[in-house]
Amino acid sequence: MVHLVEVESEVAEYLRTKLGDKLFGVATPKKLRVVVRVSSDAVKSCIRAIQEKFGDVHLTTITGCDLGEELELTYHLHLYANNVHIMVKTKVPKSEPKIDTITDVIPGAVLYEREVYEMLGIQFIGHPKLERLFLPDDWPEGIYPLRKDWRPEGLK
Amino acid sequence: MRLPAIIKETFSNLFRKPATVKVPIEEKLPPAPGYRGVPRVDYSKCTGCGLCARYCPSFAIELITKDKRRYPVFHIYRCIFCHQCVEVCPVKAIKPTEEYELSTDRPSDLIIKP
Amino acid sequence: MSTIDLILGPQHPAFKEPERFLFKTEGEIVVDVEPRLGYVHRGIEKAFEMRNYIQGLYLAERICGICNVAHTLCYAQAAEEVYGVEVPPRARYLRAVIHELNRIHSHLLIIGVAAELIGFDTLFMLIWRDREIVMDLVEMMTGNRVISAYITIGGVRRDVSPEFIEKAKKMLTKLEERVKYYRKVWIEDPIIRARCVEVGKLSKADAIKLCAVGPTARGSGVNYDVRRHRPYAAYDEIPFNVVLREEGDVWARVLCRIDETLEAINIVKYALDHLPSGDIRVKVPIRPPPGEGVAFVEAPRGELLHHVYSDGTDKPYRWRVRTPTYANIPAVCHMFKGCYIADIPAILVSIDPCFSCTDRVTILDIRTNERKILTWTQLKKMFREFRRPKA
Ligand code: SF4
Ligand code: SF4
Repeated sequence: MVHLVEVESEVAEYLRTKLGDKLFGVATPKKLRVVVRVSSDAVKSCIRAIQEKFGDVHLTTITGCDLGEELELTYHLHLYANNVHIMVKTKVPKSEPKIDTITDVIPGAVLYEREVYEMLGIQFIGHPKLERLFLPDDWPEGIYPLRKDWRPEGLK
Repeated sequence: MRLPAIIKETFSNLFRKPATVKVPIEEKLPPAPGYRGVPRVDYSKCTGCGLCARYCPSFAIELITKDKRRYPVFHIYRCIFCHQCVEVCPVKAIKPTEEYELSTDRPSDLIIKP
Repeated sequence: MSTIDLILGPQHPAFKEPERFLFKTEGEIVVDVEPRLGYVHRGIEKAFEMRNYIQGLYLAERICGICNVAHTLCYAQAAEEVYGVEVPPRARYLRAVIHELNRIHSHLLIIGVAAELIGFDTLFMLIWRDREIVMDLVEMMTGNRVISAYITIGGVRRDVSPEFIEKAKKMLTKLEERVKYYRKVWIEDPIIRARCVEVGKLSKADAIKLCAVGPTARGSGVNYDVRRHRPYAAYDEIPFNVVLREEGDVWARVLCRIDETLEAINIVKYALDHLPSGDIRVKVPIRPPPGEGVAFVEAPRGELLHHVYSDGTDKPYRWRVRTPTYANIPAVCHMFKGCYIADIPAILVSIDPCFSCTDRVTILDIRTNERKILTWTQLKKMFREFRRPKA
């Protein structure tokens, strides 16, 4: 078996050389986990770079979170080659929530991007079908339930 | 042609007792020891600290004030029988029971009050 | 040939995630499919933000009743990462035991349902009868047949007695014999083979591309099992095999589950034999430090993820859950393309989407503009009486 710590630093080192100044930071907080912070226009190139070097990638999900002024996206990737879990984190401003789609590099991301779009209102540029997924059809436009400024009615 | 493996099993089942039990007409199956049933509170022990109400996941416990003291009131119809209240009570005032037959025609039966 | 729209749902298959599928069909063949999810979206992710960590544990358990242990385990692991606590060894083993018992019960359930859907009611009844063995074990161990409320943040809530271990091993040996017999039936029975082999094909490349998880992916030969590849609980110390099949059809996916059930029985026996002594839980305070926690668990249906942001208050700031059926939706949509209408139930059940039985189907015939509404029973009947044309 490969020595585990080496696997993570290999991934971290590779991304550092590949992404240059688009990369804001790499951390390995836990065994088999790498957290990468990138600028919002570098997500796709980051995933491409990972695919080039490590082969097939499994996208577990995309987590969106409202941090106040910014919206944070976390792409959870699993590498089949060495079982590392990579969290690609990026932030988009709430005033202009736009990011490129990754459905052309990972087709399995279709539903996750739709969910983030309807729950947090992030536009995925180039998504084949950016429509409602979970919310009812008569849900008002422009109201995003997972943003912190929305509270369910009737609750304290 | 070989007979499919299921045929033998099917025929042997014709001569077996049914696996089901006619509850409650014929028999009653007792729950396993330690079954999580209705929580019953002993008000003489309770100190009114309110921890059970704070932790109850289904908001089934309401704190009321009576004679200058706080008491928990259990709305059993909301209870999910998780026994979190049993676990957090610092004076062990809440006793777990194995009661599970709760249907009643009087809703007040499902509220435990002091 | 003109296409016909066929709408399945919305009161459809999954009770966790009911879906409406719009099938575009040409004659008997499905050419395209479009899912519409969210009919019972309960806003659980928002609800987590309004409960404290302990209350959230029981809410997580109710995301899915069938794989409730997987959800509490994943929840607890994510929370433990935020709290920074280590679970005692005995609790780690007990977690593996209950997790596998839950897997056995969930797999037997879906194998039974799959048998029922191909018209094999006898097998369905027999499997569900034997499933009672594991339900009784769960009741003895946790205090309830289904909703176990067993795992908590920092450990487990009850210990097991030596008598339980003895009894469990005896009952599991009995169950193992039965499951081996069902495996034989599933492999040999000509009716099952006729209905399931080469139906709903998913190739390995597609399974990877569409991010399929769990037995759906492993039935296509994708070697990914969180228990093996990113071990949690006691899985780094328990020997077990990852079940892989290369065929990638309905038959292989169900067989994968049968084999996993057998593996799970072995895991439970091994874990009960090698149970370390010591504490079963560590207490945690009501407020965790600020931070972030991610946990993965191999639920019966596949990889499950819980992701939590904590801001240092007693309530989580954001809680993200990704259930396995959701991940398999793109894959199942792909499987539908090119299949017969009558194969739809079998393909859907092969990803294990928690079937409920109150579904309706609308068949809209564009040419005659005639609208037919079929109940689930009628569709099932149609499915049972359907004969595949000889290729
Ligand atoms: S058993 Fe659970 S749901 Fe019922 S009152 Fe106690 S804490 Fe609340
Ligand atoms: S936790 Fe116990 S002592 Fe405190 S209010 Fe509830 S029942 Fe009374």
